[in-house]
Amino acid sequence: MQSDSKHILYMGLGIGCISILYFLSLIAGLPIFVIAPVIITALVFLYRWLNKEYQPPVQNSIWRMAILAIGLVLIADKADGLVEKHGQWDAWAIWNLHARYLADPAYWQNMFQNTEHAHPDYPLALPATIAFFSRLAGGFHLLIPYTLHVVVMLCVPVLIFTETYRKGLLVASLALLLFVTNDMYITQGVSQMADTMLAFFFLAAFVCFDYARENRQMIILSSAFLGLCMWTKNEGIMLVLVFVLFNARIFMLEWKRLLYGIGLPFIALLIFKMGYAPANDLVTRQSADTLDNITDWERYQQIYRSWIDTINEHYKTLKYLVVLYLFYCLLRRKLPDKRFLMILACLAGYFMIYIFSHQDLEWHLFTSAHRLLHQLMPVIVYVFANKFANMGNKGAFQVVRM
Amino acid sequence: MKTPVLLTILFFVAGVSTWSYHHKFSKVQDDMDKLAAALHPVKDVVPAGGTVSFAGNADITISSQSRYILSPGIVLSENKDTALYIYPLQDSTMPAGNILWQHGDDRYNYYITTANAE
Repeated sequence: MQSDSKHILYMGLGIGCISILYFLSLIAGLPIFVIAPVIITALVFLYRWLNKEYQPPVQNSIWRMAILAIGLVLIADKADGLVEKHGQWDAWAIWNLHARYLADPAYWQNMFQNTEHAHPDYPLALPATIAFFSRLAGGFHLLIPYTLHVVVMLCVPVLIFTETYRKGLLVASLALLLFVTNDMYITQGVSQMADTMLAFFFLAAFVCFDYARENRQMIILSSAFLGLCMWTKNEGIMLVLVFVLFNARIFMLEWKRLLYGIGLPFIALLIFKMGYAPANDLVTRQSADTLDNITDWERYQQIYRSWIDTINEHYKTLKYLVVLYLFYCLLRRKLPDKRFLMILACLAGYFMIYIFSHQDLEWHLFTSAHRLLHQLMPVIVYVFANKFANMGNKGAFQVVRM
Repeated sequence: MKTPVLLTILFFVAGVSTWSYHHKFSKVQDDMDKLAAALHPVKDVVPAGGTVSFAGNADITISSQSRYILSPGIVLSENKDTALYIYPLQDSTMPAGNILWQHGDDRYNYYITTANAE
């Protein structure tokens, strides 16, 4: 892996490292003048570990730089028009609320008393990171979450671009264009909710895993990002299960590396869930009605219709890409890419969450369907960009044939 | 692409975006800011670490915004002796109990009451 991609991945690992160490030090009751040096030291070690291998010098290309810079400026310019001051409803009602509690060493456990609508069982990658920077800045300020979200939002297309441009600048540019033209991605990116961060970590796990064949150490990185998915949102646990199941053979052979990577976020999550967080409402409210939900075909239709509407409204280009790709696979009588099947399995998992949901289904779909698809959008773009770019390497004719 | 160049582009764009956000909203007062201004004195009435009930005739958005504004020192919970009442301006209902503090703005009337005489 080249140095540019590694630095983008380092930012993701940095967020994970900050949030986990900050949460653990909050439990220990450490003051900020102790927490900050500990976290900075950990970040330095992490940086040196990530960059310990020799990396061949890379050449700058004015075209690559110009395309990336223009793309990012366009995304930021759109974000300026789409952002709300305090973020969307869940941003202040959940994520920034949790950050404000975690930034207060005296009253942070008050967070767990807010059982109505505040979801104190949600994992802490995002709020703990904001809380750490708030402590450094002397208090919570809206600029802190906004800056963090903009950086994460930009890291996603940058990582796909840096991973693709060496194989094909045209494909990398088209992938970047997908982000520039997708208002939903940008709106969610600056909504100050945790979905984009989850999308970034899941994408990073995919990217690292693609290098596992040539460098086994990448399994540690991929596992770390999977752990951070769980540490970011509850649905991250489902994404991780799907990822691990699809790659069970490799993870069983490399179980030590899996544990090295996933260990710290998993332990932090266990401490949080077992020691502090109330039970998740989706789990606790399951009852005999759940069986009725499973056999209620109207429910399936309602979810399907809502998803199709959301896809047609926000992800039309991706929809056509997926349909064309499936059609291509059918014509060539071959199975789709395993990564693509993995994403479909994640979608199926999300679909079942709605089936099991005890909440009003229409409201649940309205408030979250677009966000769940947003979480998977970057990996879909990455998988397609990666496939097209690899085919482009074999010659333009093959790209046209696909 | 050389890493310093990449990071310069990334952080320059993020920095300009943050500056633009600050420039756009620093002087804008939205509903949340109005509520925050109205509830600012509550922190003087209810001691840090205290818990109050949310009552009155305001919707879930106002109760959630109040929780956000009063965090982390004050927690909104149910069935507490001290209560925060918020009524729309056109609602002339008065809260029960002893009124410790009250305030009004162009949208709501706000009261902190306690069931016990203190």
